[in-house]
Amino acid sequence: MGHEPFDEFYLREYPKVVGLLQGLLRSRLVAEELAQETFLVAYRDWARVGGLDNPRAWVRKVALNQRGSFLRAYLRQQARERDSVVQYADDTIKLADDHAEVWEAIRTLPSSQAQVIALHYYEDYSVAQIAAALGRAPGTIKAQLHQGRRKLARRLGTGPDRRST
Amino acid sequence: MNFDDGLRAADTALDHRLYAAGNALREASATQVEATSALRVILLHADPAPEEPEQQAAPSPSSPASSLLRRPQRRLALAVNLLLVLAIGVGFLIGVQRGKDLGHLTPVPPPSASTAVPSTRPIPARTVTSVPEQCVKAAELADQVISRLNRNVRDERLFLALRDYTIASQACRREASP
Repeated sequence: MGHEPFDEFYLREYPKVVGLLQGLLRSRLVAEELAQETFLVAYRDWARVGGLDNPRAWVRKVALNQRGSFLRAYLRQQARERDSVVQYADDTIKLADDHAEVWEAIRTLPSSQAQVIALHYYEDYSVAQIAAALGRAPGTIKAQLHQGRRKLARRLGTGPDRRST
Repeated sequence: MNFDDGLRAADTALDHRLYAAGNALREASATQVEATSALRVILLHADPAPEEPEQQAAPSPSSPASSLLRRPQRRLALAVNLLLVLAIGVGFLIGVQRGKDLGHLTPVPPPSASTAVPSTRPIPARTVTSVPEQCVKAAELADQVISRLNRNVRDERLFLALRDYTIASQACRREASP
């Protein structure tokens, strides 16, 4: 079976990848930039990527790697030039306050936990799918999901005051 | 309700809240993110894999966006070629200028159709103070453009650098011509 044309794949998946990156980064402009870089990589190698079992997961893995690289470069630059950060006043995908608060909380998690939480709750990925997409062991994913949820429960005030573990 | 029940209820509430936030962001992305124009940018700036140029560049009736592939590639190739020709021209003009500055040690033949191809003979390294500033700027911008192309950074900055380079190289030619 021939694989899906790139533009069809792109038009379906691009907004979702932007959403995933925006959820993890907050800046929509950066999310769009990184998503474009991601799909550019996919496009250049589409003969191979399009034939993979799960091009969606591949694209998400690349997108999350792009995010990691961006954050490293961004933090380096911030350390060098503290005053050069550009703030965009209207640079987010609009969400209701309650949902925006959840994503703010997710962004405060350690990167690996935030990725796992985002893939699980945003992409509806199972533990096995996340493990395959990120190239980690399912047990690691389970632990990260658990730790992430525990921290989120605390930060969002969802749950009894005295939570065990 | 005992403590375990409380935990379970809290877990469920958290799950609902996280799923709701995920769904909300997914739906908002679908409605607020405009994919079509971004696709154009990608196709405009991308080089398809060289081993299958025909397959990737061939327009298919079901995908009008694919027809965008050919023109940008040609445009980019044209820009690179133009850049090389201009760089060679600038180098040639600087060489001519240097020859004049060094007196009559190395007479330069008058330009003609037969001498349009620049000589590959290395120019002796000397400190020359009369290179027009625009030529230096053009060379620096050319370096930038080539560096971006080498790194496949084909974004707006590349086109801005290319534009600035074109302006600087034209100014350089004006200044360098006798």
